[in-house]
Formats: sequence, structure tokens, C-alpha cells
Amino acid sequence: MRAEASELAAVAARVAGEDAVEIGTPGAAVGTVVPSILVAPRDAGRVAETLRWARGRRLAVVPSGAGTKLDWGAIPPRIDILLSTRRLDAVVAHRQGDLTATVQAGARLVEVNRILGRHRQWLPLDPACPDRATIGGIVATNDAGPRRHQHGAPRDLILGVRFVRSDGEMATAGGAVVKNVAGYDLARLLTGSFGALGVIIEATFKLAPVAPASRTLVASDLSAAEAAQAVSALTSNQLAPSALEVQGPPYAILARFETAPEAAERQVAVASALVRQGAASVRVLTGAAEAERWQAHRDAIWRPGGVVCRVGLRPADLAGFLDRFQALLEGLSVQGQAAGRARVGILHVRIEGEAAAVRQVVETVRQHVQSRDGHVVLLRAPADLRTAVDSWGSLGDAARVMAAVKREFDPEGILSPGRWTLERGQPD
Amino acid sequence: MIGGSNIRSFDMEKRFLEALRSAVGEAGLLTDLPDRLTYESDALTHLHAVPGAVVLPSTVEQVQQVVRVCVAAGVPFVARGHGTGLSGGALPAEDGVLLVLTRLDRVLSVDVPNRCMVVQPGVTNLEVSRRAAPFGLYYAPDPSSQQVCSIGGNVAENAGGAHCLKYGFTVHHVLGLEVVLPDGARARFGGAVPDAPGFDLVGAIVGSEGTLAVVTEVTLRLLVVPERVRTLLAAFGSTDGAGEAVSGIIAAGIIPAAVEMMDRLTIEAAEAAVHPGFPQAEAILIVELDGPQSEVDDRFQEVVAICRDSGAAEVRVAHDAEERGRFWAGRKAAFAAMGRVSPNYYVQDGVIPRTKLPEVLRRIRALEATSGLRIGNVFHAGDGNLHPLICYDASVDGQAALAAQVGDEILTYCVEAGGSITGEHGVGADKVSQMLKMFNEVDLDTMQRLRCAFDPAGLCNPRKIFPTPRMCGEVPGPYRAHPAERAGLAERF
Repeated sequence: MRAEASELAAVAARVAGEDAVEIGTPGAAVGTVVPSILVAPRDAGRVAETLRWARGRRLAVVPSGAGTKLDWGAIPPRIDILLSTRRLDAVVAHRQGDLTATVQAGARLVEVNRILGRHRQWLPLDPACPDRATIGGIVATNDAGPRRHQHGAPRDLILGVRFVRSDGEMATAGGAVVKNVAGYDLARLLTGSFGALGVIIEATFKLAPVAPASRTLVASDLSAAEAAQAVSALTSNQLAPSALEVQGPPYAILARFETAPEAAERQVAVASALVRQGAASVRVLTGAAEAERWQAHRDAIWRPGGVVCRVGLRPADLAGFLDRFQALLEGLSVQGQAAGRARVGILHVRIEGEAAAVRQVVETVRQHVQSRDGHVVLLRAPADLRTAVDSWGSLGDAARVMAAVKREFDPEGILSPGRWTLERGQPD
Repeated sequence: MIGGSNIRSFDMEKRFLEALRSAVGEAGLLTDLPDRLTYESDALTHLHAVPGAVVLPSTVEQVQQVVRVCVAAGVPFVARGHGTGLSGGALPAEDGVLLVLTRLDRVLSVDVPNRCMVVQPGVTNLEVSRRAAPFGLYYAPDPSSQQVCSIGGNVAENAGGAHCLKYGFTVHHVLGLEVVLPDGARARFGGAVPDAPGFDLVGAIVGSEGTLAVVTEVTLRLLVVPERVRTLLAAFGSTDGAGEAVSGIIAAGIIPAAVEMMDRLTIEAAEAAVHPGFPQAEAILIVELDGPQSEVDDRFQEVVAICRDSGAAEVRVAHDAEERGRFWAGRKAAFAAMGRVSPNYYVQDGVIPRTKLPEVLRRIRALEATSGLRIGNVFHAGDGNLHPLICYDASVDGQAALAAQVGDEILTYCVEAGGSITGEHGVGADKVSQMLKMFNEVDLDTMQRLRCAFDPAGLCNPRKIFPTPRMCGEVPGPYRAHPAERAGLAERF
């Protein structure tokens, strides 16, 4: 039963503050689902009050930051409240001597890194929508970019979390120090849970020093096999790239070296020598040209339009996957690009074309990848594709335990209901 | 001792023991008291309890069978690896079964192209790197006990080691797990493919101290052996000077592979035990940089300069692997070496923000004076993990209790400095009551929701981590839905 938006808005204004509530409009739709109301409380206490009220009314609440990734994964079929933490945007503490920072969920990554940069440190994440993405959204989706090769994903960097439970109680886990094994690591559990277990208020992270220099080696016009060979060469112990990306077809390898200027020069020289043996074209970029190339790399996937999926595979399966992907695109006359962490085994693919052909690509890719223990998750996709293709694919043995965890953390099922399709879990 | 009046031993029902016997066979079940006594504690020996029965399964199916037998009878079970834990995480339940996993000790696969290894939980930490070495690969987490500790125990406690600053902890190197859930079902989470869709259950289980599941198989990430490793040992006239050097290194944007600090007492103890040839000093730092040669050599010179600028009286650079090995042998022997300078000692494990080191060390020195107990300090200085070694004489009435009290007090200092009650040894049975120093009732209740999701019957390693167990299924907190509200007749704003 859908609650009446104006009635909800009136009550929400009393709970969360007059200035915090708007009625949902099609512009705020998540996929095709228009939220009844949008609530953006100005402090953590009001977030908690909002949840307490929503739970009493059994309202469907979807936590949100800047809203850049709300359509990733399965979309909740009903959204009564889109609960944004964007007004909780403070950098609470930067302990530069300890290389840690505590940041509120609504703070934009770009702003956080501007502040940390004053002490030549940063939170080493370069996710999708880097200019708009908030800390809360990045944590909730565990989204990472090319620098994951060196620095890890949000899961690897988060040290502690403060969040509001579905019953409005505020809980903390972890701490503010880089090493800590007291109690369960709920910060990790919440990272990548897509708003299903709690509303993140603030998080503490391990930071990295900002490197004084950067060079990027680009090897282009490679076949899938040549690309995989280049990846092997570049993961020799003579090199320590901060990013090692594949992109195409036609395939290119981007290896970034961020360190002291002389060391970056030496590394890129070693890398060129190692790669040049096979590749047709090798360039070394720095400065504006380097920045442009990385922007193009991001745009290859994230420019507007198209279907975008996340693909996870064994690193050694890269060549086989790239070959298969290229052949599929050619066979079906569909435009597509893959880009991602060549050594980690996480890629994004973007596909554009006639709906039935796009669907066939997605299904074939999933079939291929799943047969080798990998996975394909729909991130950006039109409603009809989501109807035809499950957004997450198989959750395997995790489904049953996830369902139990969800019941414990959110017994009434008010947080992002439908985001995870858990009822399909098969007990052993 | 055996048969002495101070041993409490629980007699398990005959039928239950028969069921265990049919699960693991005669050779896999220990019921005699002397056999069970062998397992009464892990490496935290002042906590002990004789398990009701000990089983040594040889297959995962046997683990499943044992868990099912326990569940059917409502008997608690505790998993144990090689028993090197320092928090009583594997302390048996007197009325329960101890599941000793040492016979699950096979390396199942070494996957060189994907740089991972699949092992059973009874494989030792060092064995992983030994098996990876022919391929130029290694396993990064290196707890001091790595020659004997098991991967299963490392997973349970999220073990650290000296190289955590750059490489992280066990959780950063576990890609996947196979577990037996507390209802006896077998499940796989994660694996060689990263980021399986779903909650991070691998991350939840690593460090859960055996309270969420029994780990039966682990997929470990392997790293490429670095091209270059440079190690130095710097001697300082004060711990403050050594601390200043560490801050200087971090401020220069250098992330060393390891930065370890030892104080006078632990230097003397290590010297007496393994003769590493450490200089006489108030504090020494061991700093190690690793990575590509083109990267490491310059930065290492910077570190040498920073140590000198911070007042190091002597900086020794390890010229080869053998000399480096000597530095590390001295450091890694520090715990055991305390036996040379004190009849008994208690190893504490706390964490502070590394910038608070001078302040916390001053408080520890003051505590040493007021308590009359000598306290040595070994410190993972890069990540702020402090290991005070509290010396006492158990034959002196009240000293053991005083040592424990001093240990508690140091943890209070750690928490007051913004740190943690444990960095790598775990809460186990030892620090259950310390949890309230860091977390409030709501926090602990929230964590236990995770436990209830995995183990609603509360049989999997009970009475660990949490000061007050939560009854699963109860809804705590100030708000409970009024019956009228539940029926939709009323609502709450």
C-alpha cells in the first residue's frame, strides 16, 4: 500500500525538520521508481528520528548520498522515503600524523580530498562520478576505481563506522586506529551492503600520502592475448604501479606510476622496456595529457547512456574474457567497451545498441563468466533489461546467510527493501 | 596435577560420546582426562578449562558431522588450530567439544596465474610462504608465531604481524572461505574472483574469533616477492627520539613495509635469548622498506637521514639477507625472550594512534613505578600496535593478579588515547570485560545481531568477545511496537 506523499511529507517535516522534506518528482526517480518523499535531515539525530518513525509506519526507506549510484543492483520496487545524508558533510577529523580521517557520510570525496590534500594526504579512492560521489555512497557500494590496484577497495580502507540502525539506534563499530580487532568488523559488513543494513553517518579511513609525481604508460592496439601479456609483464617485481587498467576493444593497457619524480621516470622506463617487446604502440604521458587520457578511460564506461555492468573474474581469465567480449560485439553489431582493473579481476563493461542484442550480450557474458566462478552485476540498465536479467546474478551460498543477517539488522525490512533478492537462497 | 582436586572435568553423556565417535572414528576422539588436559588452554595459559571431549576430524564431512551432533544435543563447540592464540580465543568450553583442526593440514592448490593458494585451516602460516616461494610469491601476514601458528587461527583472530603497515592484516589477504556453519551446513563465500555480489561475509568471518562458523578451507592472496628489501636498525637514547623518527618517516610520505620499536628491557631480553647483536640503547627501531629497486633505494637513504636527524646514535644497515634475518630474529623472539629476565610475564596487546606514543609510554613508565612490576615494550610503531610485556613472579602471592590489573590499566590508557583494546591478539575470553571500554551496550548488541544471524543457538565458541551474551530473537532497545500498532490500528510518529 503506497502512502500518500503529501501526508507523509507533512509528518516527515515534523520528524526531520521543515527544511528537510520535499515531495518526490519524476526527476528524483530511481530507475522508474519515484520516491514518495525526499528527506535530507540536517543532523544525525534527525536521521535517527526519521528511521524510528519510518519503522513504526513500515515505510520503505532508501538511504542516499548524492544519488549517483542508486540504480546499481536491483532497484527497490517501492520507495516511500529517499533518505539523503548529503547535509552531513563534515570532515570530522584529519589525524595527519596517524594517516587517518573521520568523515561524515554526505561529504563529497572531492571535497574531502581537497581538505586532506593540505597535508599532502588523500583517501585513495577514484570511484565512478568522482566529482559528485559521497563517502556514504562509496562505502555503501564498495565502489573503487583504477587506484584499487595499489590501495584496495573501500572495504580495505575503512577502519570504523557509525550508523543508524533500522530502529533508529546509533551504533559504532571498529575504531579510529589502523589496527584493531576488537569486536566484529561491521564497518566491512556495511561496506557494499547497498543500504540494506543501516544508514551510514560517518566512517573512518586509512589514508595515503599524495605522490609528488605521476607517469602513465599507455600500450595500445593490442589483441586480447597481447593485453594479458602486457599485464603479466607489468606485474613483475621491478614495478609498483598504482593502477593497471585494460580498456577496449581495441585493447589498451594503462599503467600508472605515482611516486617521487625520479623513481616514476625510472619505473616508466623499465615498464616501457618490458612492454615494448610485444606492443605496437607505447606512449608515456604526464601532466595534462595524462589527466585527459584517464578522463577518457573513465568516460569510456561512464559517459551517459548505454548499459553498464560490473564483471568479476579470475585475473588469469582476462584474455579469454576480452576475446569473447570482442567477438560478441562484432557478431551482434553492438557497440561496447570494457575497462577495469586488469590484475584485480574487476572490469566494467558498457554496451550500446538495439535492446535485444544488448540483452544477448549481457546474458552471454554472464553465462561465460559464471561458468568460471565469476559474476556480472547490472549497474546501469533500462527497466526491461532488469526484468529479463536478474540484476545481481547468483548470490550462491551467501544468499541464505545474507537473509539471516538482513532479518537481524532490519527485522521489519524497511531499509532498501528489494535491493537484494534474497529469497532465492538455497540452503545446503 | 592430573587427577588433582583442582581440576574440573565435565562428564559427557555416553550416548553423545558414541555419536561423536561415529562422526570421527576412534582415532579422532579423545575422552580420557589426561588427553583432554593437553588442550585445556591456548598460549594464554592463565585461562584454562578442560574440554568435555576433544575431536580431531580428518575431513570437512567429519567437521560437519561433529557440529550436527553438537547441535542436536545442544552442546557447545570450540574450534582450535595450533593453540598459539594469546587471548584465550580457543579456550575450551568445559561442557563442550573442542574441535581440533590440526589434521586438516593440506595445501589444496597453488594457483600461480591467479596468485592465490587454497589451504586447509591446519596449515601453518610459514608453510604458505614456503610453498609459494618456488614461484617467486609469498604470503604477507607474518605474526611472530608464524612458524607454528595455523592459518585457521590467523583467520579467526585476523592476525597481523610486523608488515601490516604496508600490507594490511589477514583480512586483506583472504579471498575466500569454505566454512561449516553452526547448523552443520557447508558454505563457500568469495574465492579467487574478487567482489562476489552480496554482503562481505568473508570480511565478517575473518576476525570473528571462531564465533560465527568453523573455517574449513581458506583461499589466500599471494604477493610477488619484492625485488628489493632494505632493512636498518637504529639505536636511540630515548623512546621519544625513536618515536620522532617514525613520525618523520610518515611525514615524508614513506610507507615502510615495517617499523618496529623495542625498549631497553626487551632489547636486553632478546639479546640474552638469541644474541642478535643489538646495540645497547634505550630504544631501537627496525625499519624495512621493500618494493622495486628503483623505488626503494632512494627512499631508504631518506629513512637513514631521518633516523640520524632524530638523534639516532647508531644506524646499522643490513647488508644481506642473513643480517636482516638476525634483526628480525631478535625482534620476533622478544616475547619468548622475556623468560630470560623474568620468571613469568604477561603479553598485553593494545593500539594507540602512533602520534600518542610518547604520552602513553610516559603513563606506562609511571605505572611501572607505582606497581613495582617491570614492563618491557615491543611496538609495531608504524601502525600503533603496542605489546607491553608485564614481568611478574607467579610464586609471589598476588603478583599474577597485579600483572593482570596493570595490563587492564594499560588498555585504559590505549582507549583514552583514541586506540583499541586489541590490535591483533583478539578479545577471546581474556578481554571480554574490556569491550565496554570501547563500545556501549547498543554497539555490542548490534554486533551480536551478526552472531545471531550465524549462530542463533549460541553454541559456536560461546562466552567469547561479548561481556553479556544476547539471546537471539529478543528485540532490545527502547522501542517495541505496541500490539495496536502492530495490528495497524495505531501508528507512531
